[in-house]
Amino acid sequence: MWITILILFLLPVFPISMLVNKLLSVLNYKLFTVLILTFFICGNLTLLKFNINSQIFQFLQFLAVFTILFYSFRLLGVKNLKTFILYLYPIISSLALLWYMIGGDILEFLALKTPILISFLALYTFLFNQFGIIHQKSISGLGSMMPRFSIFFVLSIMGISSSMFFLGYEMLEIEISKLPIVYGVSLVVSWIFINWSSIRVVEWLIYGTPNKLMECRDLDNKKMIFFIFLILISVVFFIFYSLRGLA
Amino acid sequence: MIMQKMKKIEIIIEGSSLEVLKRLLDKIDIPGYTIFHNLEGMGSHGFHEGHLLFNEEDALVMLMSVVDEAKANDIAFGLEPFLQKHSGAIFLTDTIRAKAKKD
Amino acid sequence: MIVSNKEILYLNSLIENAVDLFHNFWPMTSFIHHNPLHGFENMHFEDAINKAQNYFHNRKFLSRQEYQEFFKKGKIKPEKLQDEIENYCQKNEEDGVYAKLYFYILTNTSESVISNDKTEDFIEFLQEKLSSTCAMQKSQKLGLNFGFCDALDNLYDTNLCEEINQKLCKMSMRHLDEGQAVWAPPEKEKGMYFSWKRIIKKDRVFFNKSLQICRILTLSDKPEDIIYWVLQELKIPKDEWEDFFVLQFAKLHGWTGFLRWRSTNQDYLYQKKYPAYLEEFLAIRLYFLYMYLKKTEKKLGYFPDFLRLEQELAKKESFLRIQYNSGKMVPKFIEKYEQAEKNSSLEQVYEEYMLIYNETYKQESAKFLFKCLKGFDGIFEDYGLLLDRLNAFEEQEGFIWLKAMEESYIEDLMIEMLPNIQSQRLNVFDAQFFFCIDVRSESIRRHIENIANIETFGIGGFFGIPLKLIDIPKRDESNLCPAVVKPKNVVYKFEEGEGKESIKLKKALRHIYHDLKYNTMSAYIMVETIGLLFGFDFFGKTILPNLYMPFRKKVFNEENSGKLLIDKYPKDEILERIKLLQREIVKVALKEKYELNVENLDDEIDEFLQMATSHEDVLRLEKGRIKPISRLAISLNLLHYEEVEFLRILKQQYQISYFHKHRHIEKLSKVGFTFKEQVFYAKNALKLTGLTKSFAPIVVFCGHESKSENNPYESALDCGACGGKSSDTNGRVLTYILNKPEIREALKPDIDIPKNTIFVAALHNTVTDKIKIHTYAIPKDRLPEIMSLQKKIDLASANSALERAKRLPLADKLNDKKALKFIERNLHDWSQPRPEWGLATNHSFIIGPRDISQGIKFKNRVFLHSYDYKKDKIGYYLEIILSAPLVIGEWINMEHFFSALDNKAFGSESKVYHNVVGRFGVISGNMSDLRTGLAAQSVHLKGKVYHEPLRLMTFIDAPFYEYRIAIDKIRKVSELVYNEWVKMIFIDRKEEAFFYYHGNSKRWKKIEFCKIEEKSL
Repeated sequence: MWITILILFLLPVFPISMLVNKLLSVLNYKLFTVLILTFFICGNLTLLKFNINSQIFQFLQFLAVFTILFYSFRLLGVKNLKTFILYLYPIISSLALLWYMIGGDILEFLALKTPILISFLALYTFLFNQFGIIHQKSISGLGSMMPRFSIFFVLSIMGISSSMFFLGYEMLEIEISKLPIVYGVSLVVSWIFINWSSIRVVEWLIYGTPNKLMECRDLDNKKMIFFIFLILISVVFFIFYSLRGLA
Repeated sequence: MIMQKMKKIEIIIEGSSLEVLKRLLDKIDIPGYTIFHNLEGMGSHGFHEGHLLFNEEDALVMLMSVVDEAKANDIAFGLEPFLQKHSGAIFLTDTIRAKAKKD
Repeated sequence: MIVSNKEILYLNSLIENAVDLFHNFWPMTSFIHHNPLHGFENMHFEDAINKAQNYFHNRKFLSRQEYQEFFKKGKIKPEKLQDEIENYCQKNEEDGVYAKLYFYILTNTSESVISNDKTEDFIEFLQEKLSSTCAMQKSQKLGLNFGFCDALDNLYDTNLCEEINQKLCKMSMRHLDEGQAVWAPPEKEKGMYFSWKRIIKKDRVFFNKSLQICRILTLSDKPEDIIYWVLQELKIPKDEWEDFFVLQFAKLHGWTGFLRWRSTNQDYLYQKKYPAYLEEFLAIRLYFLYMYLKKTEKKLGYFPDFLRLEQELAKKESFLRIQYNSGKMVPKFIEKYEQAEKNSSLEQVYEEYMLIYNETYKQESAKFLFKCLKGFDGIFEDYGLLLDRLNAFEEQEGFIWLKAMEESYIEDLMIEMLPNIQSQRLNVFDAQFFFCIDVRSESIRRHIENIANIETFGIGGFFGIPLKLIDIPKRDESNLCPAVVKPKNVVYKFEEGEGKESIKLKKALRHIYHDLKYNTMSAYIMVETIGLLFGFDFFGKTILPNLYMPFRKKVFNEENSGKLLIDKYPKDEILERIKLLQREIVKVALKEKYELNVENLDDEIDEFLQMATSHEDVLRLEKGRIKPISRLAISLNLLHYEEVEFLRILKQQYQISYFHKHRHIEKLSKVGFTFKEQVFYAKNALKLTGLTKSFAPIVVFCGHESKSENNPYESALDCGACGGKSSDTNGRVLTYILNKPEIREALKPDIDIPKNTIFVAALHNTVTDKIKIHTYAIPKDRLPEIMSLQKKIDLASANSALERAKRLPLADKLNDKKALKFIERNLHDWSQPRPEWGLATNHSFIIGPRDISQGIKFKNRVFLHSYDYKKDKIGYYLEIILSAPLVIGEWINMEHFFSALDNKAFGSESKVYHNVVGRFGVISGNMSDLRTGLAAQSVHLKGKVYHEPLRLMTFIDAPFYEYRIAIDKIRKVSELVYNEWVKMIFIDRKEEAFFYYHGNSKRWKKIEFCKIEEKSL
């Protein structure tokens, strides 16, 4: 019982996600990113102990799919990176729940998604540290000013949105194919919206003409090694789980 | 001979503006005109020499035409903005056109 | 509603005034370097750049970092920089400590210090001192650089500017196409406006019969009607119409420039067939503007005409909106703004924002002051005043750097040339070479002079002979002369030296190749069968260009020397030729119409032709007559009505009529040069350069051209004095003329050419620096001399190529043999965006004898025009040089200046994204404004400026007091000199001084030779 409540809070679906988002949005940015990460990992680990009641099962599945659809739709109008993360959080939480409900391996999910999530949140923190608010109308053109940052940012956002060009896409495929067709179609539609929003974020943040008055620091070597390490870990995990899947 | 009262309009401009002027006048169906090339002259912009061997844009030209009074006024007022920014001058004179009667 | 004649003229006058600010763009088949700010040349250089920013949104000068790099490399002398700064301070009445501060700021390149407590304190201190300053809040007004679309885009985050631009680009690409597109818009021949109307009427979104504007569109054929109506609807004040037009044209200044050129060149084939004019372009643009504004009316609740928009812009909330949408809002206020916008309470938060805005401004200003003052030893009383002055200084900083750099270069050039000026050489030469003034001739001239006893001269690449070349094998017609001249003589070029059969085969191959390439179906059908052939082509071009390309060029017959028709036909020969031509046409017509093969009926045909080409109707249909009148019809057993019918067909379909005959006579009369003209041009060419005696046994006129593959800018690398074409033909024409004994006789006694002197034409390829002397017209007994000269030249070419290779990226690190191979490959390599540097890095123009520039390594940066003032007593030839070659030099210099300065606004950015459009120009991506400047690869290297933007520093070797009048006599040149578009320096040997027009003091400064000598020690 408690476990269920804990999971619903740590991996929030609609409507609990509204409450959780409100709570997180008032925090300072460092606490914000750390909490999201902690909630995500703990929530997933708690799922290992979760024994789902068949009554709640259908309802939870419906909620999870609805959450994804709802937030992916809201993602389209987002101009602020913080809001983007806030909306993304329920989406990946719901994905975790769905993955669990179709009988997927939670550890596999964690292994592939966590490094990318860490990378994305770390980059957000790095950026916020320098500029404060990261809004479409205040920052643009980072690709030419901070090329190292831009590369890792694009990779991270592709991974988070399960873009076809990055790892984690197969998970989405499997989820879609194993669920009833209505849910499957909704997931496809949401996936399109999420990717479209990610492209839009990249478009305004990375491309475009930079504001010349901005002074910025790019990632230094130590930080770059850290991010390379994260990406590599994902790749290693991916290969490991693929081989395991083949065997 | 048929005698018609007309207005003679003479427009002096730089060679580089000639094509533009011809086109502007063609738009209002002017019956015809004559062009005099390689003029020399003195004006507020200084002395313009005649024919320059390799640069025809600075030489002066004059375009002359004979039209009725209404059209002459149209041309003079219509070209006002053009002549404000380009060196040149327009002269209007009363004239009589003698046209031979043709069977 | 129909506008009156007066209004039509009035609107068109305004349009012409408006487009004066945008330079012409010539089709790229003959790329003409032009000054992008040509329309501003009546203003001073600095004023022009300041004003141009309103239209082109360009940067005004290079950044401080870029200039500091030049400073580090020693290209800008500290004392010159100091002089310019002091001059600036004097003009603005600022005292000595400011001069010191400015110099310190400009030359201090230490990295930004990591923030520590001391800096924080200082910044706070500065902030306190600035407590009384506040940000200048300029409320936006509609005007030159802020139009309707800009206003709406900034207020409501729409994308109107882009969308309207896209519509216009699409329309322009469609209508101005010159054969690249396979499908053309309907009724293109009736004009751009007419054709566009036919298409827009079918547009469900942008055509609405209930709207008044659409009714006008349907009823009227005049674009002025739409223009006038929209101006009234938008309630734009009459005195702002011209500025409004300028703004509209500035949005797509590339297309404007091309249309402007087309509308003033009625002889251009495509303009004749498919006319397109600026007023049509403007009308279409205003139509779309109106329709888009009408759409926003629904969203806004009001129609955004001029008066209403001005009201909106004056509101406080508009300031907030503009700040937000243009990305200038202070970041911490953004969320509050979004909240207020949702609640429509923007007016209330305005005051709050202004506080934050001012605070932020003070903080930023304090940081700015700190950056300027750190490490500086000086005290200031009023920091607010200091801030204002520093801001003003930053606005003008670039000009100070530019002038300091030019002064440094001028001084260095004076020092380099002084030893030459003070000495004299007298020599007898084995050969004399005439090269184009192009900067690329500089190195080859130097190497030739080093290797052999050869004298070289520089003259405009057209060798003083403007002509129109009609190239029959290539079916090409071009003006081989500077763009400011219209040639009055025509030269025909025929194919030569091949048998009829091989010509037929090659023609067939060419046909097949081009048909396959452009046929839609071939992609589906032919790929499997002939695809491999194209693959062969692809691999050949890419992997083995040096071997494959010469073979390919032979098959496609791209190189042929041809035979030129230079002499004028006497009238009876013209008539004879026309008669022969028309006779052949009649024979062909008889075969086609009646399937009759006609032989031995020449007299009868001539009689028939007389009837066809007479002024009156000689052969008229007589009712009831059966027996024919003409002897031709009798011989062929044709009936009367058949002969009349045949006459009609000849007139209408075969162009055999009175009118056409006289047209042909007129055209053929223009072919070639009369004897008098030949003497005139020959005399000019020699007197211009000062070669009137001491002719060497061989005199070579060396034209130049560039060759590259897959390069839309190839013409930009050809001879600028020949309208972006090869100057080979002009050289050949001049040698033909000067080799004629009768011409030489006529040139005496002014010019005395010895009997044993032969004139020879040659062609300099500026990619490989190879010079090929044309041997076909040389008498056999002189061939050995020529061949030995060719060998010497080949060695000089190799040396020059190696010197230039050191400046080419990728080639600079290769050994000599590999470098030469690399350069050779550039001729054929279709992946090479930079086959040569071309005219990049040009900075000076030297008019005088070769003596003064001899032996100095100018590194292909200087135009060299030979001139001898002693042979030009009244300055007539100096005027000729100034009025054309100098003006063209200025265009080339300014083209490079602005393309290097701001490649986005004035250049055409990277070649990688270029797409050829309509066969006349390039665009970036799949839809953009027409790109009219030089590509990034032509002026930049690895993202940094390679061509140093410097104004053309012109040196004239002539006595100042007698010859300066040449400048004042030519209006254009005096405008360029006194408005400082070029820097002018006289080298006066009599006075032993340089006379330099100094812009700061607006007078001619005298600098004695001895002072320069002191500096060089």
